This record gives sequence, structure tokens and C-alpha cells, in this order.
Amino acid sequence: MTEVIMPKMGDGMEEGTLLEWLKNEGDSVKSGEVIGNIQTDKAVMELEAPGKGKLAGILVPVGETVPVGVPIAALLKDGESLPDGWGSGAPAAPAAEPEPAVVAAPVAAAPVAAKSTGRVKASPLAKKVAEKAGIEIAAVAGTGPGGRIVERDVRAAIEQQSTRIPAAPPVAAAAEDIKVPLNHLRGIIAQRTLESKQQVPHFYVTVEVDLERIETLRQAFKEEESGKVSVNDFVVKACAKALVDMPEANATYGGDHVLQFGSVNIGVAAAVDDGLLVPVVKGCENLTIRQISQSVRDLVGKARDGRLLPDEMQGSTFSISNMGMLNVDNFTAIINAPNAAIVAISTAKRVPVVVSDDEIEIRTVMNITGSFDHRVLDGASGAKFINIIRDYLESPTHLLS
Amino acid sequence: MPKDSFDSDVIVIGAGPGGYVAAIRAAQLGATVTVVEKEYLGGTCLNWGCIPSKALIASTEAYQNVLHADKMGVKIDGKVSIDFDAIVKRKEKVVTTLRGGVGMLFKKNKINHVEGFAKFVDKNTISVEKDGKKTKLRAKNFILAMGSSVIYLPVPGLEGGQKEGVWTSDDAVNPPFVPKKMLILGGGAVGVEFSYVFNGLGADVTLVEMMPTVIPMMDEDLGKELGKQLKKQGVGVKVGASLDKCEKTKNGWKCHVTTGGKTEVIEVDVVLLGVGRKANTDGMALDKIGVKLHRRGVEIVDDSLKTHVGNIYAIGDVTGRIQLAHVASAEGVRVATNIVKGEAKQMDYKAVPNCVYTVPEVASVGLSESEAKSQGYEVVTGRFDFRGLGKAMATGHIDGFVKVVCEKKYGEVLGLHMVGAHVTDMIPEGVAAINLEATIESMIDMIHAHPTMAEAILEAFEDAHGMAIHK
Ligand SMILES: Cc1cc2nc3c(=O)[nH]c(=O)nc-3n(C[C@H](O)[C@H](O)[C@H](O)COP(=O)(O)OP(=O)(O)OC[C@H]3O[C@@H](n4cnc5c(N)ncnc54)[C@H](O)[C@@H]3O)c2cc1C
Repeated sequence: MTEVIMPKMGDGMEEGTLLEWLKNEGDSVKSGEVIGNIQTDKAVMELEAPGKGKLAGILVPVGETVPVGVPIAALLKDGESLPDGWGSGAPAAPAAEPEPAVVAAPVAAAPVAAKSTGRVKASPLAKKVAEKAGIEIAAVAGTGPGGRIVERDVRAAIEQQSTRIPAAPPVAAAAEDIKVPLNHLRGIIAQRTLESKQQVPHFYVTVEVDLERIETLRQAFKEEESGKVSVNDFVVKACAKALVDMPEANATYGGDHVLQFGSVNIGVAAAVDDGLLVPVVKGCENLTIRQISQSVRDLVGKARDGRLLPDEMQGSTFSISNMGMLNVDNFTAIINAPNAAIVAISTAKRVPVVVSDDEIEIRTVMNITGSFDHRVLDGASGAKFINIIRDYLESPTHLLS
Repeated sequence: MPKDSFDSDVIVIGAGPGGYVAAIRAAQLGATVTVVEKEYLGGTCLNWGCIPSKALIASTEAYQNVLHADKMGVKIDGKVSIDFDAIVKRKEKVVTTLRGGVGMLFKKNKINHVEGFAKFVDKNTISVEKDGKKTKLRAKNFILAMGSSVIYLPVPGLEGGQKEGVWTSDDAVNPPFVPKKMLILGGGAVGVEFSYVFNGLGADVTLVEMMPTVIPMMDEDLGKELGKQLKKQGVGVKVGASLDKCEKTKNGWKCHVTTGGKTEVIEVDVVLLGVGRKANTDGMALDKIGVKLHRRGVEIVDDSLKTHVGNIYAIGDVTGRIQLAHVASAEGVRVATNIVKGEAKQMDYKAVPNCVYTVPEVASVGLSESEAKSQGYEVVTGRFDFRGLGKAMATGHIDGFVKVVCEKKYGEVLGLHMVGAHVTDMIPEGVAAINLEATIESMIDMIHAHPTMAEAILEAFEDAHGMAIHK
């Protein structure tokens, strides 16, 4: 039996639509004979028989679109019959193109961080090159007239990415080296974080937060069985209030201006199996701590299940990265551009603290570190902002309304 | 005069399309500017090049249109003839009017126009000589825009000047008469344009070009087509040919022309040298102050057009690079901006249009098919003949075609090459496409007005895409 697969008929072709079958099941065909027409994104092409035999087991009806490499029919020699389960969807090895690059579908279905909506100022060539290289054009910084993204910008972005993906294995690779290809999400994270770190002038401010009162409150919630509220929920709420108090931090750098956002949308970084996603809790300025808690739980759950909608990952005005559960003393986070700030939350610990009257007490404290875009905020503002958050966390009844 | 006092921020030497444009831009940006010009405002382009040649071409075309008016259903009774003096006078009027225009622009922009020949004293000082009188001028920066002049290409046996029947392009734009028989050496833009003019005005013209096609600097399909059209008009086009030697006769020259190993002798009244120019650098003490020269002109260190002396820049023909008026002007704007704003931006020569104003016209921008291939591109081309267009049929301009050269994988537009009526006015579409990094798909998305000759561009891109509508 010879499989007829959706052939790759051009460099950029990833899928094809069956326009018509020119032969019916049971017809004998010669090798190279045209048996159908296929519409690619560029043109209508002829489908040639990859061998001779009787056409059988047509899997793709007219009008259907399938990825390159997928079997669409079979050619049977005399005496041959279709294998059991033909067309049952069992992954038949793509005959012509062993490269798995053709199975683009699962990647596309996975939630992709901030799929660009709206107009991107880019040259047609830049868009084409980005598309073929699988680069998100909106994430490329433009250097053309008026910030237009031109080909060299995309080439530079690809270059940056490919320094991460060695083009070929080293000639005599030691046995224990393993090359792990980047999945789509990793590629995006790599590009985003690199760009932020390269293009946004970061500075960092760390403070220690006394969590005694929050712990007391949480204990009360627990005892009164009024539902769990996590430290993270308090942090999100504290940040939301601080951002309302200091709109300078709820902003983005716009080249010749700073845009202060009207609403407070907080991105909450969540680790997922293959990387990191940042779902966004929108309109935090109007949400109670309970509502925030619920919303974060929903979104993070969706993120872990791969069910986040693109819209639920867009539009953050500020972000929080929480490593509380990972037992860290302190860390700094990379700003989730185009935000102007991010706060890194470390693990709460019991430590001796010098309290009033020079007494030493054992208390629960945690370090939080703000990373700020120096184009938007200066040191003093950063310090003020992080202290407002601390004040709220240390006087948590303000967070309960 | 104290050592560091300057007469101007910028002195521009030469008022051709490079120099006068640089001067105006520098003045617009707020610099005090002096322009030194030894001859006429407008330089080669306006006085001996682009403009007078186009004026002569226009008269020739008008005459030819009348001669062939019957094709359009226009009957002319009586004799149609040319008034050669009137043609030359008209050309002269166009030139002097435009020259005056440059003078007006200088006044408007408060540019100091100094007449005379400039020579360097040191890197901030020149001495300008006019009628034996010398004046010193000092400036912070200089723009060298001295352009180029004709030279007599050595041909064995060929000697003398206009009186002896040896013309350069300077003579051809001020022709004393229409020769009966002439040989034009060089099938570049200048050679083919004068072939059209003198053939059209009644001369018996032989055009000798060494390369296998005329206008060899362009995509070879264009040269083939233009050669064919000129032949049809009666020009004796000889390609792959050389002028080996000349012998003086009573009224002109016996020219020995070899084509493909066979030599023939052609008798003419005038030999027009359509090739050969030299950068104007002599007698200016440039090497003395550290400005380096190479074989063809002033050497620049990079595409920001600085010379080896930091405050001295060079633009246009004098650099011995691209000899086109619009390139000289673009370089002038760049350099003026760099000087006044303290930038060091480089020129981008990716999309330089190149035009030939024969009938039919030729226009080209970007890479030719063979250039693209030799640069390693995987190339797709598209082509569309004008005869397939309604506008071409209606106006009787069916000769010629549009050819597009694109890169295969992304569809990047690499070149646009055209021969036909009005193509020089259509080339900006190709310039925009290349500069803005258009792809085939983005080009075919653009609606082209109907009926226009430019529809052929759309069709050629469609063709490159595999689907021209009218092909
Ligand atoms: C017949 C012909 C037709 C052409 N047709 C076209 C065309 O259709 N399109 C096109 O783009 N190009 C055309 N060109 C080419 C075009 O004319 C030149 O590329 C252009 O003029 C170059 O401009 P420039 O400013 O560099 O120099 P120029 O125009 O040569 O100007 C230089 C000026 O500097 C002056 N000068 C030189 N030395 C000194 C000195 N020491 N002191 C003071 N002044 C000095 C000269 O007198 C001259 O006026 C044509 C050329 C010729 C000959």
C-alpha cells in the first residue's frame, strides 16, 4: 500500500485544502498522475499520485483542510487491502516529511501569551519573515522610521532566539548533553524577558514586611470558617490599593510620554508545566479581597489546565511574581513589559526581629522587592511605592473593605 | 582675521544638484552657508546634462509625433519640418529659467553665492579666484560637490574637438547643426538618448556599444528591448562592438568598427563620445590638506560621506560612485543634515532609481535578475507586456513591458524594471516598494487606477505570484 499524504508544495506551506478529487475510489492511477487539486495559501496545486495502484480509503472529503504530511488516501496494489483501523486517526507516520515541524496545531491551540491584537507597525517583509520564523511580531522592537518594525529588527530577534537554540549539535557532543528544543511558550518567555531586561532600565527596592497581623487575620478567617484567604490575596489587594494611591506606578513608558492607566489590572505570574503564564485580574481597584481571591484561583487554575483565553493574559498594568511557596529569601523579578513595575514576593519566615524598646521577638516576615522602570519612576518613588505596599500589609484591616 | 573666526558654518563647493540642494537644506536647518561656483548655478545636470538633453528629446518626440500623426487619424497637409534654431533656443530658455530659479532659492534661503574657482589653503580656508582676483573664505565645514566633466576617450586616430567633428555630450546639448551621419560611441544612458535625438531629427546614426546590450548597467531584458526599439526607429545599433580607430577625411571621419570579429568602415561627419567623465578635483590642493583621492575622484571613508578630513564631506559625481543627479541631491540632504545636526547617518543606496529618457523610456530600481541571483537570492520574476493593457492600446503605446524581480521565500520585492511610455514617471512605485520592504502579496493588494500604464506593474506582480489577470 502507498499512502497519499497532504504534500508540502511550497516552503511556507503548512496545510492544504482538498478542492476536488479527480479520481474515485477504485480507479486505477499511474504514478505521477493528477488525482486531485489542492488549495494552498498561495495557489491551487495538483495532487499527484505518489505511486501506482487503485485509489482507496479516501480520508479527506472535498473542502476539508489538513496539515501537511497527514495521510489523505491510499493506493492499493492488486491483492492489497486497507489496513485495519485505516483512518481511525492512529498517527500514521508522515511518509514524505519526517520533520515534525508540520504538526503546528497543538502549539497553536495552547494559550499564547499576549497574542497581538490591533495594528502592528511593521513592513510587509518584516511580517513575512516573522511569520515564517514563528516570532511574535508585536514583541519585536522597531527601529525603522517612527518605530516601524523592519526586516533587520525581525532578523535581530531571530538571531537572539537562535543563540539560545544551537543550530546544529556540537560535532562530538558528550553523551550526557541533551538538547531540549524550545517549545512555543519557552520561545516567547525567552524573547520577552530578554527584551525587557535589555530595553527597560530596571532598578530594585527591597523591604521586609512583618506578617504578624496578616497571620492573625488568616487564623481568624480559618477559625470562623469564613473561607481561606492566602497571603498572596492580601498582596494583590495591597498592590491594588497602592496603585490607586500612586497612579505613577500604574503606568507605561510611551517614548515621549508616560501613560497612567485608568484601571488597575494586575498580572499574577503562575508557573505552569512548561513555563510561566501571567493571567490578569482586571479592575482590581473595584474588587474586594474575596473577589480577588476567587478571581486569582480561577485564572491560575485555568492557566495550569491550559484553558486561559488570550484575553485573560492581556492588558496588565502591573504584575506580581510570587515565589512564596518555593522557599526563597529574596529575589528580583524582570518587569513584565510594557508594565512599569513588578513586585517579587519571597517566602515568609519566622525570624528574630528587633521590635520597639529594642526587644527581640520571633516574628513572621517576608521580603518583597519591587522592580521599576527608571524611565517612569525614580528611586524615591519606587521606595515610596514599596513602602505603601508594606504599610497596607502591616495594617491589613485596610485591605478588608 | 582671528584664527577661529569663520565666514560661514558651511561652504559648499559647486552648485550642481548635489551642492545647491545641500546648501539649501543646511540653510533651512539654520546654518550660515556660502556656495562657491566657478561657472553656472545648476551644474552639469541643469546646464549640460539632464535638463538640456530632456528638452532636446521633447522637441524630437514632438516632431516624431507629428510625422506619425496619421496613425492617430490626424492628417497633416503640407511639409512638416524642424526649425533647428528654435529647438536650441527653446532648450536654452528652459535652462536659463531653471538656473534663475536656483538663484532665487539661494536668495530666499539667504545663501551667500560666491563666483569663482575654489582652492584649499588649509582645512578651514579656501581661496576663491575670479578674474585674477583672490578672496579667502573660512568655514567650519566643507561640502565638496565639484561634480564631473567630460573627457575625450582616447580612440586611435581620433583627434580634435567640435570643429573637427569630435563631439562630447557638452557639444551634443549645444549642437551647432544636425549632422548628416554620426557615430555615437557608448550605449549607456547618454549614448542612447542622443541616438534617439539625432536619429529622430534626421541624422543617420550608428551606435557602438562594447557590451552585448545597450544600457548594460540595467537588467539585460531592458537593454535588449531598447536596442530592438532603437533599431526599429532606424538607429544602426551595434552591440558587442568596438571602435578600433578613426581616420580623418575631408569632412569627417572614417570609423573602423569591429562586431563579432568582422570589421567595417563607417564614414561619418561627427563622432560623438557618449562615454567618459572625470571628477573635478584638479588644481584644488585637496591632497595637500589631507583629502585623499582615488582613481575616479574623492575618497570617502563610509556612506556618511566624510572624506579623510573630518570637517570635509563629498557628494555627487565627484566621489566617482553613482553618477545621477538625484543621488547627488539625496547625498547633499544627508550630509547637510549630518553637519548641522551633528549626526553621522549613512546613505542607503538600496533603492536608487535609474532612468533613460529615450522613446520608449527605460526605468529601473533595485536588483536586476542577474544581480539578485549572483547575490544568492532565490528569485522569482514576473513580467507583463504593455500591449495587454487598455491604456496602452488606447494611447498607442504598446511597446515595452514591466519586469519585477522578487525573492522567493518571503516575496520580498528586489527590483522593478520597465521599458515603455511614461515608465520614468512610474518608477517611484518601485522605489517605495523596496524602501518600505514590500512583498509580492502587499503589492498585489494595492488597487491600481484604470486605465493607466501602471496597471502593468500590478499585473507583473500578479504574474510573479502565478496569476496575472490579463496575461
Ligand atoms: C548628457 C548628460 C545627461 C544626463 N542626464 C541625467 C539624467 O537624466 N538624470 C540624472 O540623474 N543624471 C543625469 N546626468 C548626470 C548628472 O548630470 C550628474 O550626475 C549630476 O549633475 C551630478 O551632480 P553634482 O552636483 O555632483 O555635480 P555637477 O552637476 O557636475 O556640478 C558640479 C559644479 O561644481 C562646479 N565646480 C567644480 N569645481 C569647482 C571649483 N573648484 N570651484 C568652484 N566650483 C567648482 C562646476 O562648475 C559645477 O557647476 C547626465 C549627465 C550628462 C552629461
